[in-house]
Amino acid sequence: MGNWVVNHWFSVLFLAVWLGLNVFLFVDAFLKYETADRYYYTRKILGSTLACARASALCLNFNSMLILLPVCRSLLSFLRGTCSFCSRTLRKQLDHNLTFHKLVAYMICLHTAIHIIAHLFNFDRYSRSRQATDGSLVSILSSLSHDETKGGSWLNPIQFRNMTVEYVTFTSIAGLTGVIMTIALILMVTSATEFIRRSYFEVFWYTHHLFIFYILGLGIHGIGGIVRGQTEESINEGHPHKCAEYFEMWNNHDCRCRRPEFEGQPPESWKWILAPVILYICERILRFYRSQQKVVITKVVMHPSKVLELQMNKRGFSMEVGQYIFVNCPSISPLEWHPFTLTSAPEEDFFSIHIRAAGDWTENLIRAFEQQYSPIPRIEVDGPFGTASEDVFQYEVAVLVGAGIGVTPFASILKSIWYKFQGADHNLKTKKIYFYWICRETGAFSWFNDLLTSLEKEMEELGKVGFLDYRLFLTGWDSNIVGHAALNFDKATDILTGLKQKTSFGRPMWDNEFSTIATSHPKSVVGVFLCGPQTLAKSLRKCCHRYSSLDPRKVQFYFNKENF
Amino acid sequence: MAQTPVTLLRICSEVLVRAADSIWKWTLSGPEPGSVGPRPGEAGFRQGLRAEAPVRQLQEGPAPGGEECLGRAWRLRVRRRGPLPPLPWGSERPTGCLECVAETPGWEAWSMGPCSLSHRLLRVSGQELVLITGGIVATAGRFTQWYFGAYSIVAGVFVCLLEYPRGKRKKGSTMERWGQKYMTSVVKLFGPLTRNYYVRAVLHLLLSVPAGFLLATILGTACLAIASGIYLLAAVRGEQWTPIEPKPGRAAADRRHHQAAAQQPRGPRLRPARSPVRRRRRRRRGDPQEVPRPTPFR
Repeated sequence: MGNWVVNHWFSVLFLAVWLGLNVFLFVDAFLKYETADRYYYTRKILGSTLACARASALCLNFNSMLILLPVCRSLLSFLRGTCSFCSRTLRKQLDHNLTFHKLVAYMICLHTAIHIIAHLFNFDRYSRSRQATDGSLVSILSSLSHDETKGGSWLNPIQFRNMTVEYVTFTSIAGLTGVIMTIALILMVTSATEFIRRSYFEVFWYTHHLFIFYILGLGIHGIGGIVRGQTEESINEGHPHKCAEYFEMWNNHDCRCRRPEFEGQPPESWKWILAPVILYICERILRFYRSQQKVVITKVVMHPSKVLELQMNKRGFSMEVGQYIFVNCPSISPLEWHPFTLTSAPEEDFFSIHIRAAGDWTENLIRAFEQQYSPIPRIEVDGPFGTASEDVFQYEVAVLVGAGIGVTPFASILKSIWYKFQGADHNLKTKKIYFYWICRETGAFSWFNDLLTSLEKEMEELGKVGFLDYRLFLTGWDSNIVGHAALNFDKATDILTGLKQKTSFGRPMWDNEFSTIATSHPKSVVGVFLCGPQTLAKSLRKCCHRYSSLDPRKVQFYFNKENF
Repeated sequence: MAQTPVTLLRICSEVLVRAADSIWKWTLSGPEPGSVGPRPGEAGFRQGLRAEAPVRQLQEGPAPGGEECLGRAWRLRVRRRGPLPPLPWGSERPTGCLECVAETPGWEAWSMGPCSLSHRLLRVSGQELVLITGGIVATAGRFTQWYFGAYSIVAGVFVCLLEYPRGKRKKGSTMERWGQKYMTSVVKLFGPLTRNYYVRAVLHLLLSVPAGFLLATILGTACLAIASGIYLLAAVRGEQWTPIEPKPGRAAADRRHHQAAAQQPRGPRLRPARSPVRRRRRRRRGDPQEVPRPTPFR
């Protein structure tokens, strides 16, 4: 429990502040509309649902402001870079941007529901008070003229007795934009479920661009000024507490109380969303500008199992380890951008990606590059965007776990660490690396295999065999393989991979591994980096909590999971 | 269940993409000359970059051109290796990092085959809930014409139950929803009425009409109408709902495996020959019993 708090205190604090602000804004607006004198007459018709609707509207403004910020990738990379003096825990929170985006989206859905339900009641009550002919206060208020020339200012948006609420909804700006926004919101949220994102990403991507309608609708939603409150002069002339009872005599000239006058509130949503919208527009322009820069492909390599390596160059491109780029190939599909982790180190003069064939776009790309006699397709690149693996050099001891295709970011990290180590870079705090590679079969990753072989050789030449300690776990084993391995037990290199380190079969026992590391490095800070499945993340996180001692001077395990 | 507006949005975007595509092809005359390799006078590019043959085939030994590339190159020794036997179990679905998000670098269809349009939308989503909520609000608030609200609650629940069992994908495996098998058997009973997507499209459209008379449920109408359009599009493309049949249980599979094993002829029950390691060790130790005897078959 103590370890959980130490690792998560910032997230908890951040979420608590956000929820607290939501609650505060809701309650504050609710009380304001429930008690203010301005809305005395409005409340007479509508009751408490006015305050409900306005409170949820304020929360909607607040959350709509927040929702665009976590998806500005460049902004987050910028913050990550400028806040390098901040502690690790703070910068790690930038990884959880998508989780925050989803939380804010859920809050928006909740408040939309409250807002719509409250306004449904409001419209119904306005409609009934318009239909009322009993001469009560509400009917008098509702009959206030809409005609501006007669000096009257109206309260009830339903002008005529035979106007239906549906008519008012679809002819007023607020109603129409409200319907459009809600449909856009529903479509966005339903197409963003995990099932759709995993299986039909384009549907999610194109549908999510409906947010443009949502933002535009939000900006102009309040223009009509349907929520009316009494004007200042009107209150000064006749305070509602005094005049409300004498409503029958408002028309009499000798009565001190005149008919109250109302005005609509100016729209305020645009004030909340203007800055994030500008930031987001800048972000998109930046992405577009970057994508137009020329990308020169210097080398194309076809690895076994249909893995394509592209080595490229772009003016002004500078990367950090473990970052990813978005790649677009206009000849295959002009609008699709796909992310790929960079597999080259920053010390190299080119940047490279390894593309596996899985899906239409990647297969088409590989086929296009395989053509020997046709020109190389043009590639556009946007990025790079950052992840937690930039922190890997700050830990004395690094435990890197790559599962399956998750090994790709570690190619970049290992290469970079090797360059830094060779160049005796003083910024490199890492003294020891434990690398765990878990996969079913090495077929599609033979390029990574070769990288490890080269690393082994380099380390031997430099005499630094102890720097990198890697283990490969093959989870896709059967008795044939094991028999083979057992027969060749005394060979110097592993028969499957050709590496000096023998392959283990099955999954690693993390408790053993962590306790070994904890005993070998009792006073160090150990960073655990994972690129792999959620279940593995859970077990690693548990082990990190279990083996970190509460004493901050002793061994501490920090868990970092890459998140996109 | 109304879902994503594949109809209008997708059609529009496909038209736009096709138009943009043809414009691209017209303006782009392939890569510009000199796009592979450095351009003269380009600062910052080191010597040694040269335009090479674009594609390397699989070859033994170091990849040519690898050594001169930019400083210390990683020697790519591409080794041809036999494939390992396939996995007995399916793949996990990793989440989180880039590589793990869809197991493919391209965030493409996870599995499998042609995306069925209906599968893009078939989920119990918030959209039935929209209809039901609107109905509840209208009924509870006793709005004018609140009986439409009561109707929409019933209609929403009905559509929910109808849509709950996920249909089977044409190619590849489909994940079932929790507890779906009970509804599958009920939905299957109606045969072509539930299987055919034209029928479903018409049904959704008819169900949506009465809810359109009340403001509280008008959103539900819009959602159902969109769903109806999507079903129509799916029906035009020839899709239909096929139930996900439960696979025979593990016990049955094991039984079959054991039966097959029992039918194979048993091999000899002798201890396997001693491994060559032991033999070599004994020879080194000078075991007097292990004198290699010349045999004609070595």
